[in-house]
Amino acid sequence: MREKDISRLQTALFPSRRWGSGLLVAALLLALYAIVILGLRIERPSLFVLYLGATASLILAYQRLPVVSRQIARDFRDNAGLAAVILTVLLVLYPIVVRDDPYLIHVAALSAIFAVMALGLNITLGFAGLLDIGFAVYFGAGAYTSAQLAIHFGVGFWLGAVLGGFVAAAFGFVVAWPALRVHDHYLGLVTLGYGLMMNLLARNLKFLTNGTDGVIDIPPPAIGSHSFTEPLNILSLSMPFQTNFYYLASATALVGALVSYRLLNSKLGRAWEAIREDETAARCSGIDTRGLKILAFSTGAFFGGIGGALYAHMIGFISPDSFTFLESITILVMVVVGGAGNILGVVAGAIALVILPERLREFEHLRLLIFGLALVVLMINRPQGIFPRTRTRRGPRPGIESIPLEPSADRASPA
Amino acid sequence: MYTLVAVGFTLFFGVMGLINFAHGEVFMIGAFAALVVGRLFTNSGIADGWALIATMLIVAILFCGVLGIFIERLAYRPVRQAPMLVMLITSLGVSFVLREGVKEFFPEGANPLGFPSPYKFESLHIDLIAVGYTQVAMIIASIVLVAGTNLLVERTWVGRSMRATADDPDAARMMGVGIGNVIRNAFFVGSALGGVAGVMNGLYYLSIRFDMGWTMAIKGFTAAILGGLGNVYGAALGGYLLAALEVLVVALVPQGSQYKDVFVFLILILVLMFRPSGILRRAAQKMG
Repeated sequence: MREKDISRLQTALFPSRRWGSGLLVAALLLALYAIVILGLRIERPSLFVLYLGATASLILAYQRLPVVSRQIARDFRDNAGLAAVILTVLLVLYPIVVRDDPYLIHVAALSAIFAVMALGLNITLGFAGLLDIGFAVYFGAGAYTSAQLAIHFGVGFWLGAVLGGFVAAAFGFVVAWPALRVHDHYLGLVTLGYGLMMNLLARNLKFLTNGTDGVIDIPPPAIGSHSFTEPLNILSLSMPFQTNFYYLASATALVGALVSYRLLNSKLGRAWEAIREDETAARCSGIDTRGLKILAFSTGAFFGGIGGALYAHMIGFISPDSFTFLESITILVMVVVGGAGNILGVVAGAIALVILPERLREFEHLRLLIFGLALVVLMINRPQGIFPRTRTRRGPRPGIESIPLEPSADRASPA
Repeated sequence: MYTLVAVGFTLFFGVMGLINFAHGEVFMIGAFAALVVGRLFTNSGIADGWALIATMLIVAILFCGVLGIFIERLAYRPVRQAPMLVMLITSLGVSFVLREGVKEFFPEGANPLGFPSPYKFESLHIDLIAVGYTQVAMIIASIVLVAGTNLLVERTWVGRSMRATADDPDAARMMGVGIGNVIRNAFFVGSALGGVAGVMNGLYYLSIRFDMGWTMAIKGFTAAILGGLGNVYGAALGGYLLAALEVLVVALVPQGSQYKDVFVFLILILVLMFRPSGILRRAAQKMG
């Protein structure tokens, strides 16, 4: 009834429903963008806390009103292409909007890097349902590989990052073998132990990692003669050098999201989901659960390695302290809080979990305390994450294969 | 020490299917509670070492036991039906809260704190081997406590209801077992044991830190797995084995002290892979 009212109101406001929902999508995206930038710009801690409260209640309100949220979700689905274009433009414009403050660009680049890694864990955990509490291993593997190759063998960033991804995937492959034998809690423990062990090895194997001193002076990436530590000049605008990394990391995250999305909707993704929902049933249906589990670990790890390489070359310094248990947990929380399996949710989770700690520096010493409390409260109230995975029916229902399918709007995503 | 922590883990896991990361923090808080007792004693000028230790233990047992019940009530009960990933993250959250809480709100909490030593360093000489009284007392105390816990689990009504819950919560409930109470009991006993281990750790090293719980949690858990989760004696055995292994690694492998934790984690992974029900497989099946 109320839903009908809303659509009637909409038809009254906008003569053509299509145009109406398109405008709505554009307005909503712009509003969201403004909210995020406002959050980044607020200087006073007290104001920021107020802002957090307001944002949280907005999200809550959105979720408490299924009529509105369903309508919005439908509008986004109908205008997926438009939404993607607007989002891309907004992302491209971001450094120009905040170009007076390089720090904000740096933070955004960092969020994008963590988004890449969270997307990786999302494949392992969200798609295939395999718990991995040692994700920092792949982060570290990618970072060290690419950094050491660049320093000692002069391998450029582009090749180094890909190699870093593959080395990380090998690390994922290694842990996947023991992981095949164990489930649930035990799987979590195996990966946890793996993460802690690798961190200790990184501290002690000095010839590979230079121990706790870390690796310094990692050369920045370059395109042609343009080094990434030089300011970026677009038209007549000179942008701080962080912009280079911002574009690189965002593009990687975008590619990561697209790959994730394509994977999720492929045969492979469905097989992973089948394993997550019921492994025995999946195996009975002829799915190679062993091979696919290994593949899930390796693919996730590959993303982690790429993220690690980006991180190493952006920060220019890595040490075992950058890849501790806390990082593993942070990435895990990004995925769980964002809603495991939901690609956009995971990216949102990554952005929130990078920006919030940066913004809460005033409360430095209480940060982890707040983090812990927030986790407990969140898990009690929203165990599925803030943006739970929506279950969509894919493909034809059994028995109606012969009916030609119309291009279904249900299958488009609001990306 | 590993033994006592491991027994706590075993209880939580057996009864609730929960990996309680916060258990290491309870252990740490036990040590801090005892530290407060120690300072009170020093201030009031009571010099009797045994009275001090006894008070420390009682305070740690009560404080940690009650803390365990509180944690269970506030954090774990609401997520009891939720998937295990949710419980896991909840326990990580609790662990952060406890650790950072001590770090921030205990005076000088961020630094290592000296622990009062209630007796002079005497040691027992058997031929060439010198064994400190502390060590002897600790070994005896841990044996007594483990045996006591085992009696509790195997022979009493409380223990029987715990085992029933571990085997099949639904069936237990139908038989009239109050699951909530059982879990509360398990948390009291497990946390109290953790607290005792914390006091011992303080007495032994004479220095405690807010972040000492985390390593202990991992090692205690490894010990519990080694012995077979849900098996009290197995956990005890796992604790002793793990400690022995660490000593051996330090003694035999060059630069062993740097790598001893690597071996701990390696053992954890290997045991999980090949003997997930622990080295005492048959005994472990008794408690699920």
